[in-house]
Amino acid sequence: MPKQTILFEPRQCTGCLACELACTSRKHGAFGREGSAIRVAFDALAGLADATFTAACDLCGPLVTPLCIEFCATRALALGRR
Amino acid sequence: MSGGWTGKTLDVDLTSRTCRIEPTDRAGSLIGGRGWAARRLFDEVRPGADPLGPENLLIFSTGPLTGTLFPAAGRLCVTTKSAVTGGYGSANGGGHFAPALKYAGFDHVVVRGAADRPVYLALVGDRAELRDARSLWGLTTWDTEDAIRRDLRDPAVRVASIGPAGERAARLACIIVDKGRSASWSGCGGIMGAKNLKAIAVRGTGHAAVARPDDFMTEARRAWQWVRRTKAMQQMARHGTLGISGMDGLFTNGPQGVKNLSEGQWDGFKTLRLKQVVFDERFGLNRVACFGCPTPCAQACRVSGGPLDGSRCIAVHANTVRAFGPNLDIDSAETVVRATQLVGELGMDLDATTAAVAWAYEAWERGVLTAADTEGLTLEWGQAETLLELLPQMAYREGFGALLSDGVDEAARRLGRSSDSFAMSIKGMGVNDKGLREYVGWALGIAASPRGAGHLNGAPLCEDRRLSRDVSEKRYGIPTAFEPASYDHKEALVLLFERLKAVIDSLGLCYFQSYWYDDEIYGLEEHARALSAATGDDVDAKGLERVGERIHNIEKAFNTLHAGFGRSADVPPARFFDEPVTTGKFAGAVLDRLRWNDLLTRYYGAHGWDPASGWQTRRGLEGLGLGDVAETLAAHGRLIQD
Repeated sequence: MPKQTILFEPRQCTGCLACELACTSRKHGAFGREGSAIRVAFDALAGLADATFTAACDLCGPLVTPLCIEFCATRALALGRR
Repeated sequence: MSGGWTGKTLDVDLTSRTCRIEPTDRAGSLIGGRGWAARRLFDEVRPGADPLGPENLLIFSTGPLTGTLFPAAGRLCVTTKSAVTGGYGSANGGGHFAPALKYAGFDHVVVRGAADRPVYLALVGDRAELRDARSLWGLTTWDTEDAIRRDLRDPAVRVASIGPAGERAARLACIIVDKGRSASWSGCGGIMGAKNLKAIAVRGTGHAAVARPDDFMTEARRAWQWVRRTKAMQQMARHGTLGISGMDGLFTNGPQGVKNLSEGQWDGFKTLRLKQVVFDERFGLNRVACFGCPTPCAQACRVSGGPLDGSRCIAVHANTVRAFGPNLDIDSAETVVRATQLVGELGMDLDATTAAVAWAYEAWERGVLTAADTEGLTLEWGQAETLLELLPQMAYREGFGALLSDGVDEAARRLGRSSDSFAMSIKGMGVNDKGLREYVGWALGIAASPRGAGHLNGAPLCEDRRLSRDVSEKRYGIPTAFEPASYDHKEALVLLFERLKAVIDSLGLCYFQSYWYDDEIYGLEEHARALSAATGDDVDAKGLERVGERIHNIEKAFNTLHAGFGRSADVPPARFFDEPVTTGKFAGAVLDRLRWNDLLTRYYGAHGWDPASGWQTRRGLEGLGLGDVAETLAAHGRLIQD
């Protein structure tokens, strides 16, 4: 059975990094980029966006919606199976 | 300090090349950001100081919410003595620089003195280092950003830099972040250049902590959801500022600024060529948001094909399009993208730059400028090629463009020939705003803004909403908030937004996610709860409102002390009183001098200022707990002893 994972749609990403802030708020109790389990690279002028996940991503454990998805305003992130 | 602030301020003396870390003082509880910096500026920069001299300060500030998940907590506030007005100077930009500063462990960076050769400030880890920037001097802001990332071997570094305009201490120069977000206004780029400071580079590896994390997340989540369910924010996220309020918008059919603001409505077919949908469909890349913002208001653009092939920029906004479009009568979308790229790369303040260009085009039309003055350039309205040639000239102080490098007032002063009569400026700062004849409160907010012109202070956006007097009373406590042409009670409306904006800039937030942009969005109540959770010190909306008034008064006092501004400095250019709009649905709209004077008198009264002079009173300042500010003004003979 395909594993549940977080899917990323690059054209929808605006590079705001709220996903990283949401992640560090849960993992570290403070906001930042360092230590986030999702890492976004965004180059507006090139029209490029990418998201990678570290092994620390546990889909926010017992939470129904991972926080990065909850705080993605443009739905560039979504829960899916792959 | 447990949350909100890092507790550290970096003091950089470029003359002695020393970086010193000091504890962030609470500055009379002025929150942070703009309020903190205004106080520091007032206390440290003496009257008579040359804005372009080493005695001026250039302060980069974050606020207590900067870097957190409260919506749009990424604004950078730059504070200085204005090289444009000689008074209070402030520039506010988006992007990702301010959060990086916070994550690097600093609330503020105070830059003083001047280096004897180009340097840049690198803040990496816990270290602050002034590095040689001679190899960067001459580079555009975009190339500077790339070069610094190579120099520091770190692609995640955030850079605030100046371009060729700043290097030449041009008063229309700004500071650029993230290749396109600008901290404009007040000639802050020129001030940075005069200090030989090419850039500040930050790599923040720390975190922004808050005192009560659970409470704070509740507030952040609530605000985030609030923004996402608000219709106006959804439209902004989809269409950007351009689709909503630019080029008569999708919904507003509002006034525009045409041909040096001489008219209020542009030709319909020309308008069509600069609609948001054109930029979106022909040049659109991703939508772009600033740090932590749920409302991506910008559209990255890249032109493919044609003579301007490859032109690109991260944001075309309503203001950009108005400035390069109708105000110069240019209807080429490619030109707007290219011109936006140029002002970004060269580090030029959009408003100051285009006010000077529009003045020059009008001078040509009037025959005040001829080919003999312009070294062969022709400045006919609508000439896009001229604009693209002129912008680099202005940045590099070359050719005819050099006349315009210090802004419209200085250009008119140097040219003479009565050309100041059509220089669109307030307190010396160029005006790039529509609607000054049509929206009275809007005009007052722009005219009274301490940093000189601009709608990002007390100017209300609500006047064009079609809502009833009952709703107006309920939301604003006055009946006329939705009546553009009414002078009644507009002083109260402007005061309300002056305070709100002072608080927002001091928290480190963006103005858009507040009831300034739409009545449905949150305001001081929610800001107070978020600030309380962040710092652990409980404040309420009333308390914040009072802080906003205090901040505004310190800035006003700085203006009085340094520039002597009185009543006449709070008045729009004569054009808006003498030349009615002749086309469009606002045909006939024009400001009225008598009613304006009455409004100004009420506005000063509402602030507790002296109506006759426009200066502050002892009683008013003491009532705000600013007795020491009153003493300083009194010592210089600039206080009304009431």
